[in-house]
Amino acid sequence: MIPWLANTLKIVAKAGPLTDQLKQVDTGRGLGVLPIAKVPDATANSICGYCSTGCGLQIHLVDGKPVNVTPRADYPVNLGMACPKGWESIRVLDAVDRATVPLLRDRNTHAVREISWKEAISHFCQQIKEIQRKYGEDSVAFISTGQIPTEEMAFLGCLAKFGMGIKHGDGNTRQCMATAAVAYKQSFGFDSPPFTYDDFEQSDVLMFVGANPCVAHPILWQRVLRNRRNPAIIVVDPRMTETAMAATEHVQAKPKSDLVLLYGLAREVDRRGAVDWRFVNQSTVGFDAFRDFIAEYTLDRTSRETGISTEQLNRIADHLSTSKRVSFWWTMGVNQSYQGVRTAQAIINLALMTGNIGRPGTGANSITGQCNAMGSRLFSNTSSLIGHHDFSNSEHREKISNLLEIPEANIPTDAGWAYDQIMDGIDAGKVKALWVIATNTAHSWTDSMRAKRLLEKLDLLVVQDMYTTTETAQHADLILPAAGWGEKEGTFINSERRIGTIKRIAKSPGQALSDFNIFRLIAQEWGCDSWFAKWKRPADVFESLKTISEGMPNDITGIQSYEQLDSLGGIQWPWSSEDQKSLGPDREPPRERRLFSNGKFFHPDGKAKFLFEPTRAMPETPNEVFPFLLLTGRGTVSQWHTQTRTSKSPLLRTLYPSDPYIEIHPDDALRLGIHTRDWVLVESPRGMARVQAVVMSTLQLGQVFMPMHDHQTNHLTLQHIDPYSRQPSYKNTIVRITRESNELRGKQ
Amino acid sequence: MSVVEDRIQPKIAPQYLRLEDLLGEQRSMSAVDSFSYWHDQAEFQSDIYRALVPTSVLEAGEQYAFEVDLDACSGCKACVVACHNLNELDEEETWRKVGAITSTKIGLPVVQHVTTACHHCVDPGCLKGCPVKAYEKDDVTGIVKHLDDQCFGCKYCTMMCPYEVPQYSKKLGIVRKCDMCSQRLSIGSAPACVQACPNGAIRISIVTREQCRPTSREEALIATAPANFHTQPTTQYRSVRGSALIQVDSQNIGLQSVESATEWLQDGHWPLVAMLTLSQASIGIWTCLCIGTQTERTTIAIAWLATLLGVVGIHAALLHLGRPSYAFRVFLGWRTSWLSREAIVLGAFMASSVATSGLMTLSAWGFEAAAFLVASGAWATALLGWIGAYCSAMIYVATGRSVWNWSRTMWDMAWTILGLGCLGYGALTSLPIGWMIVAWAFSLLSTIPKCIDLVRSGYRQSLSTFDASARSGRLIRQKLMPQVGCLLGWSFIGLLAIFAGRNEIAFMAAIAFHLLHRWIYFASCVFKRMPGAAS
Repeated sequence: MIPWLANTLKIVAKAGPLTDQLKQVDTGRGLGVLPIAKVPDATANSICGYCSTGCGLQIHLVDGKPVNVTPRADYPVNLGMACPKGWESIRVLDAVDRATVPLLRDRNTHAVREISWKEAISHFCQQIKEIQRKYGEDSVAFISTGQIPTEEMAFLGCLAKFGMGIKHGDGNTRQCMATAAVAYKQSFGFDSPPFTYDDFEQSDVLMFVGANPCVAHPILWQRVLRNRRNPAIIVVDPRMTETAMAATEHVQAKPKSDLVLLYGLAREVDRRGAVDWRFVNQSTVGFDAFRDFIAEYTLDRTSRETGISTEQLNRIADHLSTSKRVSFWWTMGVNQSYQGVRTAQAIINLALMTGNIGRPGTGANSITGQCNAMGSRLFSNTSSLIGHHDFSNSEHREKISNLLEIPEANIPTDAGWAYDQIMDGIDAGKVKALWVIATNTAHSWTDSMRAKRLLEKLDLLVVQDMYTTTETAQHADLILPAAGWGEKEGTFINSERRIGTIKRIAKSPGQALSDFNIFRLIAQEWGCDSWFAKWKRPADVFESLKTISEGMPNDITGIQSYEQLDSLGGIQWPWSSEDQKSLGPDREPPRERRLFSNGKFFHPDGKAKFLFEPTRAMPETPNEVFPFLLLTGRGTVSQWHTQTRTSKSPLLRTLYPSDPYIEIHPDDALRLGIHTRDWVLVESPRGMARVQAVVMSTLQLGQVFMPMHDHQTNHLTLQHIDPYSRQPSYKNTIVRITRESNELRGKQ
Repeated sequence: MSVVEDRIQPKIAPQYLRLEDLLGEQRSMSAVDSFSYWHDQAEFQSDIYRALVPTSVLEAGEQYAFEVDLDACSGCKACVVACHNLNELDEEETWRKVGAITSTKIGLPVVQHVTTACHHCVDPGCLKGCPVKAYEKDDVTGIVKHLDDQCFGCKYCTMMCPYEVPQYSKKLGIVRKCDMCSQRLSIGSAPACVQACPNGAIRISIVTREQCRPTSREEALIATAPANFHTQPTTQYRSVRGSALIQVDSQNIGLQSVESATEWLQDGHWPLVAMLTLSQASIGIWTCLCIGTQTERTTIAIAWLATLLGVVGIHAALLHLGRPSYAFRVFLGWRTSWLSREAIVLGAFMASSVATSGLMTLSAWGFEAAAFLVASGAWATALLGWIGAYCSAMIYVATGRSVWNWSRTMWDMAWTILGLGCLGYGALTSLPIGWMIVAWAFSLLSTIPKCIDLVRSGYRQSLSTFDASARSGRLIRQKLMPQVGCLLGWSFIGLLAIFAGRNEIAFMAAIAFHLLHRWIYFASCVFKRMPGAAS
């Protein structure tokens, strides 16, 4: 009676439409329990399009539309896990500021109008030809990216350099991986990160230098925590980061003292008799000179210059000397440094002299930044001739000419300018037209106030991007609407050299076209389409890249097709047809492989080189006017670089601080009368930023930290570069900080 | 050059590209055609997280609980996004949050991320407070579940839960919260957050309810968090490397979270402000009516004024509800919820108020029988009113927030009732000016707790101790000074009106004064917050 009454009167409703909204069902088919509203009728595999970890994702589809994403459990990289960016990867495709039609800005009135693709492409080609005719070969440049598939990079590089005669082209990979690439190339004879992710799990000692994988590569940190060998984890970082918190040894060295530290450690390792002489003699050259060189980096000097106690230095040297499997890992703390190449090589030297390379759980390993930075390094035809060949080598030019059926005369004999040289070229009035593809120069380049002024100085700025609102697109004369990750296909190469496929799983909005098809349209309009007629689909380019790679250290002739890559969970380079043949035609390549297990390197003599150089001081150091040293880096896992994509997910936006901030040491804060969440002005000789203070004792006195995601951060940084890699140094800028007065605050 | 060109003969002639074809290609989906398939692995990911869900059977006195390995939590927040995506939540809704504890103390550098969701408390505040019995604590698993279709959106649970776990959705008109992925657990699958943690930092473990009983009033889940004694949360935070984080006295070592380091303005709840102020004015007037004569024409008008205020006030509370059409369920929780009790008693008060006013009118028209009941009716109404007001006060006292504690809230509301009552009574009668000034002073007395907050905030508080009163005062100084200015303005206008002999204006000024004061009471409520609660 009573329950009946309760039901009729709806006095107690344990079920109903609101309850049903959250109902879940067991799909029973490998996807586990899912919300009833989003049970897919199919799934498609893809690789995440943010960082170089290269996680496998499965996209859930209903009626051919993506509705959800889960990490792939059977993918050897991420083993069923993803970070928030991957989980939310389809959400960012759906944004109001997506570029949907070509846009042309009137130079005088600044009015922007929609134009047709036909008009856009013909305007683009005409203008570029006009500028080339008027100002000569240096007058046009392009800036590419590590965010598009290898096939598109290759097409872009070949179209621009061979087809259109654009002499200067570089990628935003200059800002992230150039140092590692040059360091490897000089030391090993090829840009060849030797490791596989399994090495995280196989090490006895993991030494991270300038790396914060907890925040920058969380799925790699997962692999570290899967290590069952109870490893020592050494983290070299001026800040107490999340990774440093988890370390067994946090080496809180002074900023940019890492090179001294590494030389000092090399000397200590040598003093402990821990040199692997058999390996050094058989597989390396230059150790004796290196030994002489490091003699002056005594324990006392190292301690003095790094601020690290001799006790801790000894402990670390002991770890490196006595452990069987030591692996070294570095990221942007090393790469984004004015002496980055030598620092990376100092790490390589440590690995070489202790024979920690080519075996499980070892290696001098660079963790890459962007999802396809390695694709760019090998195949973008910018800093090296496509396929890691040499522009200045006539044999290489002839080889490429033959393979791609492109006249050798159209292949330039040098690599052209790097990113900083292109920027300086604009400044000098030499570069008049710039074509920017899927990157955000106005936000990410050092001294970005200057960068913005330079972009305005151009006669023509073409931005090819997913969004119309990027800081760079706001300066564009012409915006070409591009399809994004998820709306096109191709391959990415991750940090461990794994080639994986991305899929078209969503329709692109409006008239946005894949970069691949934009390049085809340009080739046609330019009149060089006959050279690229064989490239109708990305898969056609992939076939060309295979033939180009033949006989090179990155030989991928053994890879059959996208389908094979998809079903095997990616394949690491090298995988030549010879490798496949010797394994047996029907067998699958091993899931995890590392390089140099035979002790043979890629220099003609088969030996690795010890490379070194005296350390140098920072170009500017804190002084009375600018007393703080500004460090930069990634803020949170949920933010990606300049945030053109991650800021489009309402969910990701809830996962990071909404206001820009600067971290400051408690004593400095006390002295300046600053409390957490006070607004402060940060000024460098170049620019200014207005941010909130966060008082934290994880920093050292006199040092402050700002995440790179806020557009103001690079207002402050100084354009200075590593002389070998030409990569900018982002992490040593002098600044001063003042508490914003109430009067100023009132005006906001 | 011509030699080279002769040698190179493209094998494929270019075809003219048509834009329509390219756009068409862009709208087809290669993946769907050529690559999509179902995963047919029978045990999806199960080998990864098998160790993370309990396999043994729960015994009496035991329940499921989240267990978090803080040393493994690197703050990636995959758990948050997985919770959102795998439970099909609203755009910004997540039932799991990640906060961070940092340190301002030299020599103690800390950056510790803290993942937190519902703590499935032994003695859940949400359940106790819910007036419509929309919460259940499962007898076997101990999981605290919210019955979405039963909820009518009063949001009281969002105040009763010290961890701010239930979240109100304007769109749906109800709150929702974590149910430990009951539907997954019921078939042996792991909750979304457990599945998604790359570091295996979250697991479901079995705890005894005994073990969740706090040993002191200070004990908390983690540094800076609210004390456990309110609700006895079951989540187990473990840490070897940062044991200070989970020690009882960790408040004093310079640890802070965004939530603890800064003040946050709370919702002012206008419908509740109106309801409390008007109903309390009504109660106050009835109190005066008991003492004064009850059959004169003016007093009958006053009674109807009191009735009107009460009826309007109590109905204003409906505006607070997300689903007001289900307001009739409000009595269900009377055994545990002060909100149910308030609704029942104030409902009776309203009825009594209407009836007594009617009787007074009838008796004025000469119905002797009615006159006989008027005095007892007035007394009954006033008494019901005071009981109702006590229930109103207890609603806020029960939240355990120290700025809303018993003595402060009782003081505040009692003087509000007396002040508004006397001024309201005086609005229609010609009370002597002396009485009116006393009534005006009663009104001011209600603000004493907030004045204490303001005074306390004047002293620079050391960051190491949590003084909710001083911080509430600081919040007012930082963000609510215009409102305080208004408050002073209204009280000044009231005083002027009294001197001018315009008692009705004085009463209206007092209503405005108390509405604003009650709004500040809500908006400036500072309480200890769980790391992550503000994200």
